[in-house]
Amino acid sequence: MVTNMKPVYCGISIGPSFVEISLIQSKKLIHSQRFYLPQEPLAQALKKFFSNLDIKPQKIFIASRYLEKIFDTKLGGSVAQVVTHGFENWPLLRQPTRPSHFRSHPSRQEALASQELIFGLNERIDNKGTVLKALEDTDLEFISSKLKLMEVKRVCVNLLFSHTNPTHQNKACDYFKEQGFEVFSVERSANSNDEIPAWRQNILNACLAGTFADMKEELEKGVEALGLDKSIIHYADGTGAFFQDNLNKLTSSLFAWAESLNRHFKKEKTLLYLGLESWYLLHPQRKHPHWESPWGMLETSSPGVRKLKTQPTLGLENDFFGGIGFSKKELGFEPGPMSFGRSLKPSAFDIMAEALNLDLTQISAAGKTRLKDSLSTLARNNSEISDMSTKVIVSKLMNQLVTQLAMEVSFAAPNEEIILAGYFAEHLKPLLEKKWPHQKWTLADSEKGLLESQAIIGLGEEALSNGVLQ
Amino acid sequence: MSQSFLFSRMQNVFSRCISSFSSGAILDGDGQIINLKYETLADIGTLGHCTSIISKYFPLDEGDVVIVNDPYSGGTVLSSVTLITKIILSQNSYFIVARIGFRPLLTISQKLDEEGLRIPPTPLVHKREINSAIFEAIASHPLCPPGFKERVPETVAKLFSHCDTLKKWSVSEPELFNKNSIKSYMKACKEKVQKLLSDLPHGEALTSTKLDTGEVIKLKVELAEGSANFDFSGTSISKRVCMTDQSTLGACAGAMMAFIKEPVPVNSSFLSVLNVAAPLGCLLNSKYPSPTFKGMTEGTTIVASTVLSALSDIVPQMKTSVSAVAPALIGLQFQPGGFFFDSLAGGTGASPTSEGADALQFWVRNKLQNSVEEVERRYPLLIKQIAIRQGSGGKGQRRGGHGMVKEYELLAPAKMNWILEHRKNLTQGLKGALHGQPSEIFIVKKDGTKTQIEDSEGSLLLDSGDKIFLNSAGGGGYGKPSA
Repeated sequence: MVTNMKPVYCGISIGPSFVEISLIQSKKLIHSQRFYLPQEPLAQALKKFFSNLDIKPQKIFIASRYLEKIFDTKLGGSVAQVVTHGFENWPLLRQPTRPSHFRSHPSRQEALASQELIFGLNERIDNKGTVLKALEDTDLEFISSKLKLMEVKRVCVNLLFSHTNPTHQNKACDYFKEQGFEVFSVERSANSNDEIPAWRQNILNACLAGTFADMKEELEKGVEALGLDKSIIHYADGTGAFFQDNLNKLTSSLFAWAESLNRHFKKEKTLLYLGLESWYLLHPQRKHPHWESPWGMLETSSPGVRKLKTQPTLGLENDFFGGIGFSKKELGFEPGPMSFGRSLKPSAFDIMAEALNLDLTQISAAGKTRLKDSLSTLARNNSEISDMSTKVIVSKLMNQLVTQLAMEVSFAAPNEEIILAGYFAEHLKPLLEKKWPHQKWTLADSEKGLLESQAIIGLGEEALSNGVLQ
Repeated sequence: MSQSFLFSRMQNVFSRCISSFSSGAILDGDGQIINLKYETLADIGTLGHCTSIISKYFPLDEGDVVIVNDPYSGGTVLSSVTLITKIILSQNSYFIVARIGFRPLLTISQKLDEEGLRIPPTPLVHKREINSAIFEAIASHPLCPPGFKERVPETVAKLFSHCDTLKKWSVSEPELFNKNSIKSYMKACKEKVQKLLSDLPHGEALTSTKLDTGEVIKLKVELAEGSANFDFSGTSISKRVCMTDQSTLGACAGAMMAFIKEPVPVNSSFLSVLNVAAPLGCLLNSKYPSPTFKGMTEGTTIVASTVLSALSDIVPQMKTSVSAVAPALIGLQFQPGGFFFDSLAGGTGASPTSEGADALQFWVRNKLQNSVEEVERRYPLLIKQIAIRQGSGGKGQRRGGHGMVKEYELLAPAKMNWILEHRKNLTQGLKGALHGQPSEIFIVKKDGTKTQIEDSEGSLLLDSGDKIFLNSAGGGGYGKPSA
């Protein structure tokens, strides 16, 4: 590799299924490429990306949504929670009733941490920070021995009013660290007034830690194989800051891509992000202190991100009237779309693959046949649709999808100019313009559409020029 | 012409335009509910009714908004405020309704007007401008719920924003809003709902539920070809539990929705297949000035569970044990320091296939759970414990869901009001299982004296340092417990 006079930066945007990599020098794009992770894991993707490039990046900036993989499996490993005594059941009891419509057997939204792994610490601080019950060493010792017996690795310390007076929180964290546990301490924002969303964030950080470690190891392996030092890798969080090992940033890091896109557009425009895996509306002016996670409301400063109800992962099913419609449920990222020859259930992605004639190399003939068969099966019970050709059904479903998307955006962001970004942006722009001419739809000015990986480089360059990153 | 694709788009636009409200509805000019979003059982029956009243007595124009919370004009509890506006789409009139839920005051009252600030239907906005004299008069009332001043203008703005968007959609896709489409959509909904009902086993069932107040709900339910009939003849006249006929309809509809496995669109087509007869003056059809808080909250949940239980008598495989559906309610009035309100869910009943869920809101879908830290910041209160009330679910082959326990310590004197259902009439188990434990309140005075409160509702003055232990009831078990 040649030594470069001007620094070269690499941006990697990792999703649950796809990764995109860009290389930029002096604001100029050198190369950009997308990989499908089930076929080409991270290290392999990196090797392939750099195989024909005689160039060496000085920094690698990462925006990762890879950790969303655990949303499908809901597995976080053995994470324990230590809370103020008397409130051991409180996280569970705050989980809302599901489903949202009345059922004869309602249940509770799934919690992140198992109830069996929640322990009470005999301490209490009031709202003014006064210690009402001092934390004793014997209590810490007792819980620590229990955690060891249960072979717990990660411990989240969630104590009431720890942000008003952190004495007990710090003492407990230090003690558990000394005992060899990986410790997660609840981080509260200044205006935080509800303990449970903050506790949930802490637990999610702990649950994500294992997946993060796997991803990090894979990435470092790939970077070192290129003859580069792993210390050049920097992960972004949802505030635009960078970290390398701070596991308390993991939940926030799920929004790094959004913050980098917001900054790319100078926080002036509403962005409709139509990625291969997920669709979002980004309102840069509307910071949300909370995020509606799959486990309930969670405290994290998400940069105006609103996940749309209309998603490429929505399944297809017979609707209330016996027709074919999009389900309210997402199919998830595993095993992958039917048109890739993976899933047995058709999704909105498959309809787009067929209707828009997508040029993705992963689309297989077998997948297309499977989609045709699935649509015939779904159409069987409806006399109106059963006579239609697959082409007509696909076209009608495509119209449904675009209408649904346009309706969602029109009510959520009326009268705003919408910047379209992500893989589907170019494909859907003409359809959205036709369907909803009342808003201005503008395509993001990215090269080859791989905007996320370029935007994260922009965020990294900003941090370097501000001196917050060396 | 493929109607199912059209209906799907109609469902989409009609749900989207009310999705940002916690509960709301869109109705056509004839008062037909096209789509409704609910948080409570009472919402289902009342949102359409209040719009009918307002469209009848107020000459609403586009850009006007009427505000109401009066339960006898289609409201529910006085802490829920409803806003209604009119819009013309494809030359047809529509109404959009948004309901805002505030934290309630809990009072033990004999008259509605003692329960809070009653707002009869009142024109609040004209030509998109809030009438500041009316708004200020409501907002400055001492019993006006906290947050009113901010949330009402926000919701009004949202209503108009949604109206503007709907107008544009009516230009882009006029077929979604024309009379024929609406007629076809409502007809198709009705036919589908009737089919779902027809597919259920037909039959009749009689049941009755005794409330802790001594009042009795009597019900004869009939599942017939394409309809469900609910006859509440013989139900006690209203004494303490007072509901409106529309909230009774909501309770029956909620139970029916829970009973039908498939989610149904909540609209007039669905409601039209439910025939509810509740004699005037009975607790299910009371009249002004009867206080409605208890009826609209606990009453509706008990009616819905009574209906669900009766329906399960016709389809026995749906049978579950009795759930503690009515939460344990407590209100603390500090002076100064404001009103604190809390609601503790009970355990649900066990079924042949599963245990009951612990402390779960069965018939409410709001997020009004108090944060410990927020409560302690706002009120002179220390919360000492919040826990699952172990052992309170009825024992059985399948255990009933446990209730919950909450312990409060007062840091200032307060007047405590409480309402406890499932106190005297326990949540029964099925097939030899045991009942759940009743709801309870214990007071521990500063000197350590412990007293259990026997009454299912009442008021008590407490001192600083006193502790309250509030326990919600457990659900009934299912099947004989093993020895």
